[in-house]
Amino acid sequence: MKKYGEYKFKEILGEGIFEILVGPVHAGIIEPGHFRFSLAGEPVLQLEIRHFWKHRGIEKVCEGKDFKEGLDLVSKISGDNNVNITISYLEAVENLLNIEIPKRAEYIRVILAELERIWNYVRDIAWIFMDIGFALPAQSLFALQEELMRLNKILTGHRFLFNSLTVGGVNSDLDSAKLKTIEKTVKKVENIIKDCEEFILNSSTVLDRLEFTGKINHKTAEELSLCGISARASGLSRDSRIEFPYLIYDKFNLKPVLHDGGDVFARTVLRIKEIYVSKKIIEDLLFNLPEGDIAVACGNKPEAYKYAIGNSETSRGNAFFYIMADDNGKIFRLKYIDPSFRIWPSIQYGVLGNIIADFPLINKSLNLSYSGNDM
Amino acid sequence: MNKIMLNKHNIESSDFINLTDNIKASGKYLLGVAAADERSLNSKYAVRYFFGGGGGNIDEYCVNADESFQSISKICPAAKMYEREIYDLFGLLPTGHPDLRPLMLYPENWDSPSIR
Repeated sequence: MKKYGEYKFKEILGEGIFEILVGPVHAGIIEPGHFRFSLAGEPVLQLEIRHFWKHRGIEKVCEGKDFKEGLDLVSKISGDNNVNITISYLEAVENLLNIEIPKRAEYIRVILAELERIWNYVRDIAWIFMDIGFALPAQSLFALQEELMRLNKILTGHRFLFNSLTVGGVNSDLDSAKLKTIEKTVKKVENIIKDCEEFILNSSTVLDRLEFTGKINHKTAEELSLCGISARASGLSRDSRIEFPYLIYDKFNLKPVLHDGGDVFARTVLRIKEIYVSKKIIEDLLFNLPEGDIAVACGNKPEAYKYAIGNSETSRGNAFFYIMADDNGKIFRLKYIDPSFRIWPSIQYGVLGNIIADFPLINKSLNLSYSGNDM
Repeated sequence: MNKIMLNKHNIESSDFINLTDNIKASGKYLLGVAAADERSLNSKYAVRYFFGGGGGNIDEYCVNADESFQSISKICPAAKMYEREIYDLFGLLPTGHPDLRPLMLYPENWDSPSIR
């Protein structure tokens, strides 16, 4: 077979410089990615990431599909953020179809989106503890994650909240028993996270590992156009819920939660603080749900070759869609940009000068998606 | 219900590169780049850059291309990966791009630069 192009890794030459190659096959069941470190002693001089080992061609597959078929594909792009990604997709689709979803559906979408954010953050913080060898707080957070996933199952029938949204609304309603369970669970989350925050702030051994580790400078974050936690931890005020409010996010008068450390500590503390914000949003909505339908019929056909964009804030950053309809009401072109695609290159800067043993921790503090990246 | 408002600008590739500095200075940042094969509509490819932030709407700059378009990566490094992706998947050359190594299609496995 004829090959096109050639891939050459960037090399660093000099006395005593060596390379460590990690992946694409990793221990455990995590996804594939190749990391190539150049070192002199323990500090990292250069990291080159080579990704996209399982490019699935999702965008191409979506062409010619209708919006409901597209929804099924899109919600599997990056499973742990499927609600927030789907919200972005539906923003674009419902714009194209010119439909307004019922108020109750908007409220339920926001509740599910914030529950997803909370369980993602709880897991992320648990892994930070795991990677610095503090098994006890890690295990207590994993137990909490499990509880949140069971809550997901009670609410929607699926631990990852799959198929909870549909074109024109949502698939499952929240009755008063479910609302009470949510209230109880998020209260518990807040209590455990408060303990966890106190533990982090008062333990010199934890701080020693987290502070000044994996620093991504403000300027780097700006030039790479980072988003989500990675941007906010480097002092950039970027949160789609505030900048480009969708659904009912303009109701809450949210203020961006910022830190200027740019290090693992900043990213951990921001997650903790944002869990409190999400909890507050959920509590505001729980017992104010408007009555009415949870979905509208959507027989509309989009204007031929009209396009729209969708944008939402996932636990990692912006989920961005560009969708153009064809003259048959199907998808002509769909482009999805995952926050991970934007943030992955920043790790190459964050690790510089850090010892190689801190790489797993730095990587976890961003906790990016391979599958979202490998579209 | 809020809907995202788009300010659409059709722009020549050579004008866009001159404008990029101003866009950045205005506090807007790159949200994404989407290329599309629109040859069946107007016999061109379209490369759409989306900038937002700093309050206000999202700006879209649409550059039409036949075979190539001017890269803005040297001014806006955030565009680097997107333009590499477009070169890889559409075979459109972003001229002046600092790093055009294959990104998504592995040269070890593919014999063509594009899946147009």
